[in-house]
Amino acid sequence: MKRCKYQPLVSALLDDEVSVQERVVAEEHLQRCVECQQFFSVAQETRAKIQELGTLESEPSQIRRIMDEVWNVRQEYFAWQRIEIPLKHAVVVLTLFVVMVISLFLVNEPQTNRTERPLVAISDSTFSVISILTHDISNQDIAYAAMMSSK
Amino acid sequence: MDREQQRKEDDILVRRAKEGDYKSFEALVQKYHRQIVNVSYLIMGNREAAEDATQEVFIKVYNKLSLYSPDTSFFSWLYRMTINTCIDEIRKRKMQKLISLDFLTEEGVESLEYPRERELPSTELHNDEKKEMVNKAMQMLSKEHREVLVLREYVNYGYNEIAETLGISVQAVKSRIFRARAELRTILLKHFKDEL
Repeated sequence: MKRCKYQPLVSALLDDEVSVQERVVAEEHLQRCVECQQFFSVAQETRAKIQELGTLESEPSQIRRIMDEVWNVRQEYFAWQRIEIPLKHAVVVLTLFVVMVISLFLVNEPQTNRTERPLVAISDSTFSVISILTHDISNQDIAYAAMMSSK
Repeated sequence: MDREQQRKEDDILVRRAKEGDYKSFEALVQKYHRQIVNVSYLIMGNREAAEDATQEVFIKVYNKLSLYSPDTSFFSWLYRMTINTCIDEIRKRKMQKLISLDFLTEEGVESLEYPRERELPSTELHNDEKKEMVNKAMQMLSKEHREVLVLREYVNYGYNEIAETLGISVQAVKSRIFRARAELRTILLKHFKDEL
């Protein structure tokens, strides 16, 4: 359908979003164009109807329901300083942290409970000297190494 | 209260809410609940769905409050979120399709606010029929046209505010409002010619 080219201007006039010059042009045109007059009047009427449609009242019970829901969401969050993360994520991060600490502890553990021997065949004395050099030693090792060196 | 003052008041409430003040967030909900229910209703055309969407909007706002930047006004941000939530909801429920089918079967999208049996003066009845007609026609508009009309005609936003809310240029707003009005007029003439 072909429309009058002034209709966008007439639409802006209805919203009072025109310059002084545009207003003069739009108002002059509106006086002589029936199609634009109809467009203007339908737009005006639908505006009134849309405003009438949006008259639902806000009920306190609805606001209560929203705030209860927000409160529940809040409980699911872990807050520290101004940082808030979902509780589930906080639990995952904490678990990973604990696992990491335990792993580090276990990695260091073999140094104190050394039982493994090198795969290559070396004597007990060499093994003890290596242990001293690599700081993987115990009092017994030092005593043994001292004894062997005195021989 | 003018827009600037309102904006300052909102910024204070938002800042407090971000710091964990539950009461400040409740104040924001109380302030905007009515407008958000009505915007949702105008977009969705169904009261129950509008109330559900409103609840979802405020929960989203609460969760995303840390992302809000005071560069844009809080109500523009809130309306943007409302429109997106409503459109998502419509998509989810395939409401647009249902509404169209309802329309074809002459049953309408929702019962009127008053009992149908109530006797009404002819002018009041005519007025309510027209209101319902516009409501149905609104639901038949495209998403872009519907949101722009709601912001202009109901929220009473100027072109600059609509542009800020929708993230488009003022020129695009001007043109979109005109096309929305033209589309609404075409729908009304096509489907409701006898009632007009």
